[in-house]
Amino acid sequence: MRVSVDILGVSVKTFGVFFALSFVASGAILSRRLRELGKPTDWAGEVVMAALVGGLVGARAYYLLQNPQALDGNLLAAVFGGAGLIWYGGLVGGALAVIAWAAWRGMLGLALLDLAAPALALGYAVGRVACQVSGDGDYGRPSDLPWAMGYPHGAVPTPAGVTVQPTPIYETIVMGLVAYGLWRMRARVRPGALFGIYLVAAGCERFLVEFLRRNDRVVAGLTAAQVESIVTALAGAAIMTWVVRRRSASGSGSIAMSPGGHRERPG
Amino acid sequence: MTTVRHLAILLGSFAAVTGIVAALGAANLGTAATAGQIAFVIALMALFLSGSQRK
Repeated sequence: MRVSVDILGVSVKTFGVFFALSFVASGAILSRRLRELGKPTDWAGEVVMAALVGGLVGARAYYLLQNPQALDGNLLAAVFGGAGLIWYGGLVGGALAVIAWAAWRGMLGLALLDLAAPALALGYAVGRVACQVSGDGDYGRPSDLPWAMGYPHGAVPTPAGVTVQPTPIYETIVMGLVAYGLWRMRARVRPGALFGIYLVAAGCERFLVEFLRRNDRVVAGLTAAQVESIVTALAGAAIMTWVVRRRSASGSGSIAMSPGGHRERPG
Repeated sequence: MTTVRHLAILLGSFAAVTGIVAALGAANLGTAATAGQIAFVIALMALFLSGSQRK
């Protein structure tokens, strides 16, 4: 695993390539879903751009909040300088930017959340390939498992001879399967339910993988990401409960749509 | 049935590419699994973009 590779004399950052591909992948399924819903497919590019800019700003801002010492010295260099991005900050920043876009396009509502759910899960799954190939420190604790590996040339290198859990691979597989499940359910559940399921699944996945990772325990033996994961999963559960109760009030308590609640046509 | 077939494709692509790269002499199983990880996301994208449309 390497930070960069030389292609025809040009140094290409491995993290950047797969980070960009994660947005391309998300944009591709957003575009497809927008077409299914009869919306302009070029909105997918707008959403992705909003999520990218908002996500980068949020991820960097959250990093600086958690690491205020990085602001010592040159302020501009600290704010706009290289590494230091945190996923949950990116999620919040990206969400705010996409909400602003949706308000502008008149698409603010449950349909927007459900539209975003599979794309978010897929983007996370592809994004973890970036972490794996660049060895950015998102790997796990030392391990002797047969598939444990070292990242001696990574952005955050492991010491020589030390092998660790390749947790980005686990996360890609799990969140990829979550994305697949959400995609299969996209027209079968009540508005809002898909996003609720995504939040529960994403929260549970991150909560569990943190036990294998090397982040510091900050409260009650849990890492900061685990605390954030609990909040995320609870928010998802609250959304799903709200969806069920809303349907109960109108006669159907199921989170799934009734047969015939959607139409299919061959693609 | 479609879901089972799709899951077999996804997990099969991961396992098959990991096995092939390991057999070709990857430094370790984790490195081979990285190739499998990339194959998995490619297969996932193919499934997303090739299925029937739903409204």
